[in-house]
Order: sequence, then C-alpha cells, then structure tokens
Amino acid sequence: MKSLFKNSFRLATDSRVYFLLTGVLLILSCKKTNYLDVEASSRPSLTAKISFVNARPVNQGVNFYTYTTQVTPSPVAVNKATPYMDAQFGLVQINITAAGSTSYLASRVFGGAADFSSSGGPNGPIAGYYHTVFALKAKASNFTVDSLMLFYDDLSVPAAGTAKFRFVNIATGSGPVDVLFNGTPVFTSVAYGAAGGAVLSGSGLNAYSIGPFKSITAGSGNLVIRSSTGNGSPVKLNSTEWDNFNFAAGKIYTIFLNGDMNATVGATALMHN
Amino acid sequence: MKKLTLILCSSLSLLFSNVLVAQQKTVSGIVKSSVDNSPLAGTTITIKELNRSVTTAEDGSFSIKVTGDKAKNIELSSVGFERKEQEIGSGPVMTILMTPVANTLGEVQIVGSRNAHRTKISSPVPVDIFDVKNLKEIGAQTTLTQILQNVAPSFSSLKSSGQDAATTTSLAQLRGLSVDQVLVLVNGKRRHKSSNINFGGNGNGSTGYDLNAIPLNSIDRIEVLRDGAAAQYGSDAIAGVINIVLKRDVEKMTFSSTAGIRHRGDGIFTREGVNYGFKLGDKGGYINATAEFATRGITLPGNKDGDGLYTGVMYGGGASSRGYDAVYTKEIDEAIMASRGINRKYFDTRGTPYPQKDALIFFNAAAPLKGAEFYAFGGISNRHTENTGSYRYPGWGTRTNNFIYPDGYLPQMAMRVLDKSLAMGIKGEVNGWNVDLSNTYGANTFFIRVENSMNATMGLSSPTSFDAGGYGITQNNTGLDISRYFKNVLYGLNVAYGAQYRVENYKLNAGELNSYVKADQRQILNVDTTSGGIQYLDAAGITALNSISPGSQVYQGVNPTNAANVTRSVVAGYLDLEANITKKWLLSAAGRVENFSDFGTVSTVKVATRYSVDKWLAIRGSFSTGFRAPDLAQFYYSNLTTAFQNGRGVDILTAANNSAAARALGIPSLTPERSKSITAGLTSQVIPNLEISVDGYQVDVDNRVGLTGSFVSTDANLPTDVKNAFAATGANQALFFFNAFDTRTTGIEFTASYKIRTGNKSDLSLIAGGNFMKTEVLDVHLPAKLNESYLTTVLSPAEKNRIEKQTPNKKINFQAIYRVNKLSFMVRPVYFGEVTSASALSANNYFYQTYPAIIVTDISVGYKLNSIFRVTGGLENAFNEVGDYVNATISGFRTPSPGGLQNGATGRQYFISLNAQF
Repeated sequence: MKSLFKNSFRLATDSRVYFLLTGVLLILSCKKTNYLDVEASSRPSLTAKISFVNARPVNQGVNFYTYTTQVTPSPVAVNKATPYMDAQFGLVQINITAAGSTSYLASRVFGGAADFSSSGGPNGPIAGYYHTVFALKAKASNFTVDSLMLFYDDLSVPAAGTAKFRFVNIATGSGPVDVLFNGTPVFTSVAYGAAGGAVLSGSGLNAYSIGPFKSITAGSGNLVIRSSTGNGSPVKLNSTEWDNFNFAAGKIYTIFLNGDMNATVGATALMHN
Repeated sequence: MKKLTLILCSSLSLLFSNVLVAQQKTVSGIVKSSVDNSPLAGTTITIKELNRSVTTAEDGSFSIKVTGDKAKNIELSSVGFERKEQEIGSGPVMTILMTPVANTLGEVQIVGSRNAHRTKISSPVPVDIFDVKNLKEIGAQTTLTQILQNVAPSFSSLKSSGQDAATTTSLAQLRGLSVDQVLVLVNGKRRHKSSNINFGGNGNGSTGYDLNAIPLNSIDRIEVLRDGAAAQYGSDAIAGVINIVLKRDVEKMTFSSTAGIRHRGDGIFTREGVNYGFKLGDKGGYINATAEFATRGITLPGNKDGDGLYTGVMYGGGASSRGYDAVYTKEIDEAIMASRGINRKYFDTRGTPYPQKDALIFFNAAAPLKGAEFYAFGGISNRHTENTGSYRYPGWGTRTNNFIYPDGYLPQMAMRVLDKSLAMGIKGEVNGWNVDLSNTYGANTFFIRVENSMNATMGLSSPTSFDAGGYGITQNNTGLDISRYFKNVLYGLNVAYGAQYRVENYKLNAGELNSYVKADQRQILNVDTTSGGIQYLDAAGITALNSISPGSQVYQGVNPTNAANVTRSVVAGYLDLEANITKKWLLSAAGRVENFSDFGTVSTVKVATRYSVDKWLAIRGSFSTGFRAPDLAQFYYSNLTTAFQNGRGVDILTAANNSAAARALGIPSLTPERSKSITAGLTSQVIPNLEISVDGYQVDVDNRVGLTGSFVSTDANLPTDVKNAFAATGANQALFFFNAFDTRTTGIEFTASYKIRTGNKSDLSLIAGGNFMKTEVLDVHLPAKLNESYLTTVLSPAEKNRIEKQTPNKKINFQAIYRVNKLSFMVRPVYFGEVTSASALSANNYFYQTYPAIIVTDISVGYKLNSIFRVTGGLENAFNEVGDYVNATISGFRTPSPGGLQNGATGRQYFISLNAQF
C-alpha cells in the first residue's frame, strides 16, 4: 500500500506536462462549441404584435388564443379591437372561444402553407411585425361557421399631410363593394373576406399586399360604401359618422364593413397608431 | 500510403531473410500441460539472442535452429499458461511442461470450448484473441467497441448505436447480424444486456450488450468466437460470442491517460484509468481493481464548416417544413437574425458523438480455499450523456413557444446510465471433476431527463426540464458447471455438463405528468374548412389542435399507462463433449435445453470438428442450431418518439407487443428467433509465427424480431384499436415488434498474423483480417389480420435495406506495429465496403443512397520515456476519410453532412496518451 501511494505521487509529478497539455486542449475545444450550449430560455424576448378584432355578426364577446394560451385577458366585444398584444410568431394556431365557454368556436393555423390555396392558410405572424386578426364568419358555410383572418400591418409613418387607410369587407351576405371618399373611389370590388387592393398572388405579392394601406390626403369628408354590382346604391350604414369622417394626418386606419346585409350593417374604424 | 508500403516491404524482406538464415544445430522438443500431459499446440518458442521464434504444432512438437554459441535458453509462452524459460538441453528431444496461470482452474479455456486445454490454434471453431492492453497503448480508441472495430474483421460497431437514448450506447455486431444476436461473457459468465431499445441505426428495434460499461483498463484480453454457440451458452449466441477476460495482475500499478481532439478543434475526449492488484495472502489470492473516468466535449456538426447548416425558414411559419416564399422572405428572416445578433450557425445541431462523462470501477478477485477457490468480479459504471435532438426553430409553433424560447431551442436528453454487476462463485475439484458454482447479477438502468425543452401543449405553463422516466433490466444467473478431462479415453475426452437458473426483470418507469401529457384537448366546435368564402382561407385541411406535439420535446416521458414491471425465469441444462478421436481428429458435440417461463422450451445442438492434415494445416467445421429469446423490453416497451422524415418532424408511436392495437392487427405474442449455422474453414502455419485462418459460414435466422414499418394514422382501413391508439397519443405513425422475417447470411472470413524479431531490440507484428458477407431477407411474415398490401409496412423498405445493405458487406483490416529500441510505430488501415441507406421521405416513400467504400487509417508513434512511462501520439483517421455526404434530397433544409454509416462522421482526431506501469 505504501508503494501504491509512492507510485501515485510519482505519477502525478512526472506527468504534469501531459496534463497541462490536456487542460489547454479542453479550453480550446470549449470555445469552439460554446454556441451549441446556450441556455435558450434566457434569450431576449421576441414576439409578434397582434390586434384582435371580433367582427362576427353576433352580439357575443370572444376570447382569442394562440394554441392553448389565452391572449386576450377578457372577451373582445363585437366590432371591438384590442390594442396590439404580444403574441407568438411563425406557425401559429389561433383559436376563439365564446365568452363563458371553453369550446373553440374556430381554430385556424396560420403559417402552415406558403400560399393561399393550401391547408392552413397563409404565412403566420412575423416576429417584430404588427398584425390584425379578425374573427368572422366564413362565406362558404353560408356564414354559419366561424373563422379567422390575418393581415400584416404596415405601420410605416404616412407621408406629410396624409393618412393611410385600409378597407376590409366583413359584412355577411354582401357582394363586392366599392369605397369612395369625397366621391373619389379608393377601393373597388372588395369581396367578402378580403381587403381592398389586395394582391394575393403573382409578382406583387408580399406580406403587406394581402391587406394594403392606401395613402389618402388628410382631412374630413364623406365616406361611402356601395355595392360594386347592380345599381351601385350605397350601403346603408347604421351610423352617421361616415358622412363627415376625418382622416387625421399621420394616422393609419383600418375600416371594416361589418354586420349582416340582411339585418344591420355598420362600419368600424380602427386606428393603428 | 507511402509509409504503409514502406512498412510492408520491410516486413516482407525481413520475413524472407529470416527463412534463409544458415543453420548449425536444431533443438527439438514437445510442450505439454503440467496438469495432464496433454500437448500444447500454438505455444511460442523464442530464442532471444537469435531473435528467432517458432510455434508448436498440433502434437506440441517444435524444432528450432540454433546458430552460434550465444543461445543458452529458450522462452515459452502460451495463452493461459505461465511464461517459462528452459535451458537448451543436450538431448535430442526435450519435454517441457507448462504450468497453467496461477489459480485459474478452468479459466485457461478459451470461449467456444469447455476444455481447459484448448487453445486458439487447436480450436475447431474460429476464435480471435485480442490483447487489449497492447491495442489500447497504440491507438486513439478509448472504448472497447472502437478498438475491436479496427482490428476484428467481422466485428462492427458505431460510436452511437442509434437515435435518442441509443446514442449513449455502442453495441457490437458480428458477421453483420443484429446487435442482440451476439452473446457477451465476462470471465466466461453471461453478461447482462442494455435495457435500451435502439431506434434507428444498425441496432434498430434491438437491445444488445453495452461493452463500454466495462473499464478498458480492467481487461486483459478479448476472445471473439465467430460461430454460433447457443448450444453451449444459450440465447443470443447466434453470430458468435465475445468473452471479456479481466486482469489478474498483482503488485503492479498501471495508469493510462488519453486525450484527443477533432481536427476542427472540438469534441475533445479524455480517458484516465488506473489499475492495481493486491495480493490476498501468500497462496495466490488477489484482488485487481480498476477505476476509470472519461469525458467528451461537444462536437461540431459535420466534418467541415458549413456542413449541416440550416438554410430554411427559422422564424417564419414554414420553419422545418418548407422554404421561403413571397410573403415570408429570406430577407425578413435574416433581418430578424441580425437584430438578435446571431446568424444561421446559431441553429446548428450538435455533431456526434455527444458530450459524456463516465465514471467506472471494476474488480476481479480470487481467494484460495482448502481445495477450492472463491472468485468474484464486477463493478459499477455511471455514465452521463447529453444527446441533443434537432433544433426547434423559433417559427415551429407546434413544438415551441416564443415566450419561453424566443429563438427556439436545442432540446437535450440528459441521460444517466447506471450499470452494476457482481459475480461470485466457488470452484474446485470433487472426485476428479472440476465443479464451478456461480451466481452472476447484472443491472442496467437508464434515467432520462429532458432539458432545455418544453411541452408545447402546455403553452406558457410548460416547464423547461422534465423527468421523462426511464427503464431498467436486472438479470440474476445461477449456474453449476461440471467438467472433467479424461486423458486416457481415446486421445483425450473432455466432458462438461451443467445447469443454469436465470431470472430476468424489465421495468419501464413512468415520467412526470408534464413530460407526457397532452395538455389541451378541448372540443373544437367549428374548424374552418371553407372554400370560396374568405378569399385566402379557402382550402381544406385545417390542422386541429392535436397538431401540437404532446409531451416533452426530443423525448416524450413514459406514460404511466405504459409503465411495466415484468419478470420471467429461465431454466437450462447442457451437455458438452469434446474428444480427440485420433491424434489428428477432434470432434465435439453439445446440446442444450432451455425453458422460458413466458414462451416455453427451446433446444439446440452443435457439432464441431477439426482435422489436422499436417503440422502446418488443419481443417475445421461446425453445424449448430441456435436461438434468441425476445427481450422483455421488446414485449413491453411502448412510447412516443419523434423522427424526422425529409427534414420534417413526425411523432411515432412504438406500441407494446401485448397492446390491444397489436392484437387488432393480428400480431401475436413474440416467439424466439431460430437459427442454423454452418461453418467450414482451415487454419495454417505455413512458416513459423505466421498464422492464417479462413472460414466460410452461412447463418439462417427464422422469425427475426423487428420493428415493423409505419402504420399511418390516415389509413382508413386500420382496426379501431389502432385508430384509438393514434387518437390517445397524438401520433402520426405507429410501429410494432413482430417476428416479421427470415434471413440468410453467407460469408467468408480470413485472419492472418505474423510476428518476428527484426533485430536485437526490434520486432515487427502484422495482423490482417477480412470479412466478405451477404445478408438476404428470405421471407416476410404477415400478421393474421393483414393482407398482402401491408407487406412493405410489416417489413419496410428501410428496414429491409438496413438488414441487407447498411452494414459494410466487405471489411478488411490490417495492422503493422514496428518496435525499435524505445520507439514504436503503428499503421492501421481499415477498408469498409460500400453501404446503402434508405431514408423515409414520407411514410411509404424512400430514398436510397449508396456510399462508396472508404479506407480509414490510424497512425501512431510511441516512445518509452523510461522504465515506467510510455507516451504515444498519433492520428485516428489520419486522412479524414468520412465517406460520402448525404444527398441533398435527404438533408432537407440543411446543407449535407457526411453519412457516416461505415465508421461514423467524426473524421480525423489527434490524440496523445500516457501509459505508466509501476
């Protein structure tokens, strides 16, 4: 046993150069691979910003979820929008529940497809981008089935003396509509479930082309929404604010037609900034 | 290559110069065992002063030429016997008795024979013996499997045996058969298996023996029997048997330390070991103990910068599934990365082998008793491995949550593998019979933690680390072995018989709730499948909530409903006879009957023979039947794993063999695999010190247990119980264990070794080996309730390809070691033949890629610093030969990396080792 300790001591002293070399190798190796050993949960936060809008023609608040996480703290009333909220980005399933219910009224994946004809809808929320998500009724179900729609919001500052304006048609039972401001057409033939001036395919397609904002000279005027077909009579809105609507300079708006063409139809203006 | 040629040429010239030396005097003799006077073939006779050696023939005879008057003694060495020096006598023929190594009653034997006097040369079946200490000192390989991979022709092993937990193990294959069709013994006693079932890799669906749980420094030599031997040793010994013989040294301390690093400056590995033997009393008792500690750092992906780089969508909705488009562009993605201060490299996955920390201790002891000997050996190993899965990109919403992991995450399986073994026994002589009563216990347990992960169905409430459960096996084997050598019956008859009782247990331990739960399964009233309504929401195929992958990512915890704790018992008896019918003809026969409590009785037989045609030539052959009992793990394992098909993650259920889903498909309870093996070959010593063996073989295995291909959740024709299994687990595909197919493996192996003293202080040793084989699937069995349209599901094209073409069908190894003064030089090229991979692009769509043959060459130089220390440095895979890169079709959105199917993708490694002996 005594010789065992003696030999161990000799081993430790005689081989110190070897172990020093091994130590240097260890340090060098660690540096090269540090990036593969990151504490991923400690990275700075990154989210998408989403404003959730309840555009269902039902007088009932809804809660919005990304996957199984409730995002809206309280039910969003009909034709009301939340402020921009932090939300998941990438492939995101957005769901809604009626106030007081746990069953999902609608469930839709955004980001599961590259185009607008495959499963799952178009690309999902983008990190750092702003979005508006509408809860609405699907036309193909004769407006009995709930669905969801997502737009990317281009919040770049409008040019001096102008505002930016986007129009979305979400009034059930409506055909395509035109939108005029002070008698000048701004958007034409906007179908149900679409934004005016949208480019959904081809060379002009990009994130913002799905729900583009148009620049409009700031100021007050008469906003008229009328059917694109037939006699082109204006849609009778349940509010007089559109007779003298003010587009404030530097502001960004989404106006969406809502309600039911066979009952009450309205329009709601959302201000994005 | 120039160096190799130089060494070859010099060795050949030395060989012939030795033959041509003039003679003056010839010393002849016969070498016999001191125990029973039986002749000892294969004993090496050396005259140091003349640098001359010869080997004894079958009858123990030798003759050696002596020139000059310097030579006074001859030195004798034989496996299992003490070295001996004998004065050169004046008589015409000397008789020299060799004494077995102290206190090794019955241990002199080599694997494949229960005759204590059988040597490698005189064996009727092919046996290779590898001196581990020597191989360890000259190479970079720090594990047993990697050492054997480079020197044993029919041996095959990758550094990682498969995916997930299998990355912790490095399993052995012989003759291209499965990792569980080879039996492992330690000191001749059955070793326990690993509790892990492999997924992917060459051991897909199998458990196998984890040789790296035994410290390298505790091993004296390895014996590899390349022949079926189930009739002698029982289940698993279909392709062969590997016997690990532990050290018995006393009052000698050996220390070894090896450190190495990949050529890219990553993946540093170290292994330190110390071995010391204490004397127990003064009558030959001993306890030899070993401690070993090993580490390995993180490895970069691929073989060069840019390999394995993810080129697809990171932060967008197409992450892991599709490329960029007009809405989510590459510019958007890269702007986000830039704002985060990272680039694409951040999303690398780790290369293999994975980081590890191993601590191992082992001992081997014996104490003489009155007329007998008590012996014991065993140890504990505690190994940690950090296996990482594929990166969960930040945009991959079904598997991540940006509020927890803003930039995604690289999930880890932090595995701890605890391996314990203890064998004790007593052996001695009773009325002329050698009696050995032993008890061998073994346990292997996997504890699986998942770190840096999440359960996506839990959203923000998900933890980031999980206890995912684990599994373990225990095995207790009690054996009574009795043998006797009758030297006067015929020309020597060895009779051996015995019995064994074994109890095996398998446990599948549940993980914590968060590790397996599918958190939100609320009803979805309306899933929008409109068309023609909302303009860009017009297609069918909405992904419902169960698209979120349940459980902890990279490895879903074991659900309590799948947990198992099952036991079976095995009773066995055998008779093993071996007789020298004439001086030249050896005949052996063995029979064994085994009863398993879960599936009944299996009987096996073996006949082997060897005939010595001349002193320099013997022919040999054998026929045997064998079997492999399905492991308890194959009966009861069930869990969900994630596989990547064409770069896309798919959750796959492995359903237990006794599940309702299996029965619904008509899959019966597993039954034993049955085999028939035939070998025939020859051994030759054309010139002194040159040993050559050539053996052909054919192994038929019926009812092989394998994992079926994928049954897919979208198959409307599946029985309700299978559909229910999909619904309950959220899996997209399901696999089952089934006696699915029959195979035939044919091949031919050769080995050659030559050792010569080339000068006063120099010698040269050469070994070469080759294995050329072919495995074919002969038949595929269908479960009773499936029609022929399911044939390629029951045995998938990928699995068929793995069996037939994924292990190199040709392997040739060569090793030359030249020692001069204090220096030693080693060169070791190994040829790995071509292999073919089959990768699933989707459930029933495969891509085949053939990887051409490669030659991997190790080179080292050693220097003996003084009487204690030897330092060795060199290159493993000196020419950085990693083989072809995977085709871009398979690599998906990552840039291709080396396939690494033949010898891994680690590439060139630099190493330095320090060995000391006090």
